[in-house]
Amino acid sequence: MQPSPHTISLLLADARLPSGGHAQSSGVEPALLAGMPVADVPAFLRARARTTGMVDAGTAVLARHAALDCIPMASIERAWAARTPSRAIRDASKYLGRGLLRLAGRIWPEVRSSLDDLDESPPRPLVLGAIAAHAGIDAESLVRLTVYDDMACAVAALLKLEPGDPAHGVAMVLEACSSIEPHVAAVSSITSAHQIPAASAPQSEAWSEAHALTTRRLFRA
Amino acid sequence: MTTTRIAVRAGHPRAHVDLVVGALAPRLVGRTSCTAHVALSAAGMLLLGGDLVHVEVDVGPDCTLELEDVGGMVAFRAPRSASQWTLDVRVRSGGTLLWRALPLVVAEGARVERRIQIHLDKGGCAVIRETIVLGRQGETGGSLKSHVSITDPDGPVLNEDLDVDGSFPEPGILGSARVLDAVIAVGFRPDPEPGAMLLDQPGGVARHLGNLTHESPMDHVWATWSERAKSSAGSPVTIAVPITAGGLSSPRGVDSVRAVD
Repeated sequence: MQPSPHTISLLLADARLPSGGHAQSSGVEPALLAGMPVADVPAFLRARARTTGMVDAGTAVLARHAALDCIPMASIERAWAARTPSRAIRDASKYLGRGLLRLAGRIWPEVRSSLDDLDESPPRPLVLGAIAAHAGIDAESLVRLTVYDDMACAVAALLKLEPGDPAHGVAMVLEACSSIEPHVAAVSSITSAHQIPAASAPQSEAWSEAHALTTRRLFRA
Repeated sequence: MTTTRIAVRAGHPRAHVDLVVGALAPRLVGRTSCTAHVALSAAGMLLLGGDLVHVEVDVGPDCTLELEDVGGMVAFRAPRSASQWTLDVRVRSGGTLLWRALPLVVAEGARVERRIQIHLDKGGCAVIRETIVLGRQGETGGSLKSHVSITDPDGPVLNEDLDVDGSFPEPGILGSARVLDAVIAVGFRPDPEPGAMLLDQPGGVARHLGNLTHESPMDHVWATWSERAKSSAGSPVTIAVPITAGGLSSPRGVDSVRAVD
C-alpha cells in the first residue's frame, strides 16, 4: 500500500529526514556573521521567502511538470542557475539536492530517471519537484513545502547560533511561510521556465559568498 | 514613447553608426572600422512621473560599441505615476558592448520600473555598469522595480528582478544601503574579483552595497572586466573626436542621425 502524498509532504518537511538539511542555515549564519542583528531575522526570513524561496518554489513546480510529462530537466536547471547568481548558493543547493536524491533513489527509484539528464548533484528544487511528481504531491503543496523546509532549516540553525526561545523560532517560521500565501496560487500554476520568479537578494548573496570563504562557520550555507 | 536607438555595423573605412534621438540623445565620440564610442545624454528633462524611456542598442557582428553616460539620471518625485525605463540590446555574433552607466538616483516619492533585456548571439559579450542610488542626500529614496534578463542562443544567462523601496529597507535585499553599484559581465569568464559572483554560464556580477557612491570599488572592476572584454574582442584603438568647450561635439561623421517626435 502506498503512503498518502500528504504523509510524504510531512516526511520531506521533517528536519530529521536524513538528507543533509541539518548542515544548512538558509543564509542565517552568513547574515549573522556579516553583522546582521538577530532582531532582523524575522524580516530577513520574509525577504528570503519572497526572493530565493519563490525562485526555488517556481523551479520545483516546473520540475514536477517535467517529471510528470517525462521532459528533460536541463533547461529548468539552467533557468534556476540564471536566477541564482551566487555560486555559494548554487553549491549549497546542489549539496542538498544530492543528499535528497540519494535518499529518494532508495524510496522512489523512478525519481533518478526523471533527473538523468543532470549530474549527480541536481539543485534541491529540481529533486523536490521530481519527488513530488512521483509521490503524488500537488503543486500548491510543493510550493509551501519548498519554502517551509528552507525556513525551518533557518530557524533550527538560528537556535544553535543564537540560542533563544524555540517557540519564538516556530512563530518566525509560520510568519515567513504565511507571507508567501498571496503568491502560492500564481507560482504553483507556472508552466514554462520564463515564468519562474527571479527576485534577487543582493545583500544575502554577498553574505553567502563571503561565508563560503570563511573557516569560522558551523553550517555549509 | 520615443525610442532612442544606437546601432553599429562594421564598415570601411569607418563603421556605420545609426543614432536616433529619443528621450536620450546619443552622440558619436569616435569610431574605427569596427568600433564606435557613443556618449548618451538626456534630450530633455528626465525622469519625471509617467515618462517612458526606451533605448534600443544593436551591436553588429564583430563590432565593439562603447556607450558612456554624460550625466547621471534622477527620477523625480511622482508618487501617482511611475516612470518606465526600458533597454533592449542585441549583441550580434562576436560583438562587444561596454556600457559605463552613471548613477540612477531614485528620489523620495519616485516610482521607477526599469527593464533591461540583452540578447547575446554566439560569441557576443557585454560589460554593463549599473549604479542605483535610493534617494538624494538626506532622502530615504523612492521605489524601484528592476528586471534584468540576459540570454544567449542556448538560454538564460542571468535573470534578476530587484524590488526595493527606500521607505521599507529589507535585510538581505539591500539592508540599510542606499547605493547598489554593480558591474555585470556576460559572454566570457571575467577574472575573479574579491566578492564577485561567477555565474553558472560564462559571466560574473560584482556588486558594492553602501551609502556613498565614491566609496565603491567598482571603478576597478569595471576597468578590469571591460579591458578583458575589449582585448578578447581584439578591437583596434578608437580615435576620439575632440570635445568642444560647450560639451560634446556635434555628431559629425555619423551616417544617420534622426530626431524622432
